Amino acid sequence: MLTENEQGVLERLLLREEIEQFYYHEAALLDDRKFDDWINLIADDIHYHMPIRRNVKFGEQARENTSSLNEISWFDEGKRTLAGRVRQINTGIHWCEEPFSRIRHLITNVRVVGVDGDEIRANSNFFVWQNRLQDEVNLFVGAREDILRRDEETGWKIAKRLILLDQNVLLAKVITTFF
Amino acid sequence: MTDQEPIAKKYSEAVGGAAITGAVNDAVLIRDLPEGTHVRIRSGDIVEITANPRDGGWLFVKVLESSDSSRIGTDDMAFCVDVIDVVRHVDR
Amino acid sequence: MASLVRSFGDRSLRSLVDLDRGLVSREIYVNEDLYKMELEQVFTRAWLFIGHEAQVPNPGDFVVSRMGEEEVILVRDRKNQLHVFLNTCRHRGMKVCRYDDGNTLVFTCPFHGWSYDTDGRLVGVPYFDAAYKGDMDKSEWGLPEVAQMCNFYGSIWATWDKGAPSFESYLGPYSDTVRRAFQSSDGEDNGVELFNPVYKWRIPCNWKFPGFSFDGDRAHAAMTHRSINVAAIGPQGDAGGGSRAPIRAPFPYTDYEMTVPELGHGGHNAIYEQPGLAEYRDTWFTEPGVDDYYRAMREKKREKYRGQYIVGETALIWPNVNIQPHRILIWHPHSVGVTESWRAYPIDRMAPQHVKDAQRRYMMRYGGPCGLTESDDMENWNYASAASFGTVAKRYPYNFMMGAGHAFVDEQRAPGMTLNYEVAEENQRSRLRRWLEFMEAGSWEDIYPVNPVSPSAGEATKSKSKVES
Repeated sequence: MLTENEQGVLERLLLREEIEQFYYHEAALLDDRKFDDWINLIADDIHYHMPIRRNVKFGEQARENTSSLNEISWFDEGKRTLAGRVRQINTGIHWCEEPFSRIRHLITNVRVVGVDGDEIRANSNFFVWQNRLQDEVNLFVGAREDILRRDEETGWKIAKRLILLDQNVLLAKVITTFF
Repeated sequence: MTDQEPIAKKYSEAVGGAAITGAVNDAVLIRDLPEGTHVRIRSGDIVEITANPRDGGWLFVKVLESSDSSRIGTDDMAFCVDVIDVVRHVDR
Repeated sequence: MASLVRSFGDRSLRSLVDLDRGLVSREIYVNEDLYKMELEQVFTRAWLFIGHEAQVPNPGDFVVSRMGEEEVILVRDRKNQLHVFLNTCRHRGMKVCRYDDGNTLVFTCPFHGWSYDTDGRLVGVPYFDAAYKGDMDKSEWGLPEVAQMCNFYGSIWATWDKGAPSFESYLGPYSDTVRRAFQSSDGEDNGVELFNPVYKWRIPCNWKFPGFSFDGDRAHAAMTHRSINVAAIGPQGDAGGGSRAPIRAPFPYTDYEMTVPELGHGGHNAIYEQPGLAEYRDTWFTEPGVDDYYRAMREKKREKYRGQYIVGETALIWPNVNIQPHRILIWHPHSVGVTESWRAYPIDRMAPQHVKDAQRRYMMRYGGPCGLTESDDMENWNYASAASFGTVAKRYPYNFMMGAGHAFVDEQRAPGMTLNYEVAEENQRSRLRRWLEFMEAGSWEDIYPVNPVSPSAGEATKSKSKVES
């Protein structure tokens, strides 16, 4: 018989395990280039946002990441554009992904930081390796702040994703993968 | 009130305040000293901070007290190592 | 007059660029020595795009920019004057500014503490009296400032060469194009601001791949961008086949490659068969209310330009900036095989928020390193560059033959311009011709067309400088 406290710990562990498994599943879909299956994990009302990271003076960290309200970001879009990206890759003539790059998503530091009805907030870190043609290598390291929504079909849908890429000048010529 | 101020005070008391002669004084962190603060500088002058660029290196000041009366009321810049002590604090 | 530079190593510069036949050595895109020469001969002489005054609206506001490989600071001083300074301390070289933008009283070097006012004067030197003992005159040790700066309808341009002609002369017939690019949609001068911040990213290719291609390589689009329409990124979404470009009302015109060979500028420009501007055609089907704004603005602009023939909506301003009404593309040399691409997006300053948002989102999904259109350009520039470095590869020149010898002029409808079929390489040859002139020139006197109003006048000027040299 579990105490109330132990029951709470167990529920949190199970939830984190469920979220981690969801993230690993999502990463596998991307790495296996199953983009149509990946886009099915995206909620229709998603806000997918990767701000630019500024070099700012100490004390001005509030404006370190560009705002989705009135500034330029690397990505700041919804499902329509994300689906367009998938369709473009799937043409086979999107030259910057033809032939495919070898991309691997390592997802770590998963934390469930809030639960609100059928939505949870989860933070995680990513390390994305991209190897292209022979020796082109791009590394993308950063953090994600998600809102995930329970879904009967896919378990969860991604309803909001903030992606903090730890770069200022983008060191890759393009970003063709999803985070 | 910044947490380095007591240390600065202690340091300047230990070595005799304005009598410091070494070229380096690391005791007073000036970056966050607010405008209106009065500080004693190496020459012995008491100056008021008129603007703080918050670069940790410099303060824009107006000379309040000086043994050289022609300096009183003039504008100057004070470098961090020349700031010996805070003599009047200002709440931010 | 300074003597011309005729060679690098054991090769003559002329032997690398045969524009009559349209053959250009790959060396000029891959050779380290030529690249170093470009930094001196091109990038310390030419007028370069710095930014926009709206990036620094208040005294003390600054934003870092770039000229060639080197970082500069665009700053508004405490007396409201704009300056462009090299970002390096005169004492030991440290960057005096390592923030992307902000507001400051002084630029203080974090190395030894030299401190510069926003007007560039050296105002703070540690131990000044005790250690320098009056030996140094601070007024001689301010931040290095550009030789000339021009605020052109809000856009800021600069050159390191005091012998360079005025910016307006430098632009020649394209001054109207640049002026209009900084108008709001109703045709009012100085009507835009830039979205912040500027995109900055690295492309593994020589800067001339993108720099000389834009507005001079219409032939690439059919193949490079074959995959874009399925994504339907245009303002109209899926309507009209998913074009990435907005829908436009019919207006009789013919597209040409247009260039000013004496200056190197040029664009894909239309000659209209009737004066004025086309009426507005709704296109923002995915963004409610945006058409209402642009339609009203277009009506005002049509009134303003009624009866006038407009030539030149976009242009590559030699050497490395492409000016368009809604985007500014800059390609900075970073190393012989790497370009740092910068992208700025102008927007009507007075536009309502929903219009600004719609335009901003369209630009983000259209171009830049995460935009759907340009990603394929960058793959092509990257591996075209990579496959040109080889010992054997360099024996084979690039082919710039398209349309060579078929240029013509239309002095009445496009004065000062040289025209060619809309799919040509006339503009790229023009840029390569200007490149050769800059690389050979001993000073601006060798490369400044006195009165570049017509191709014939330009030819005369060029001949003159050759004789004198």
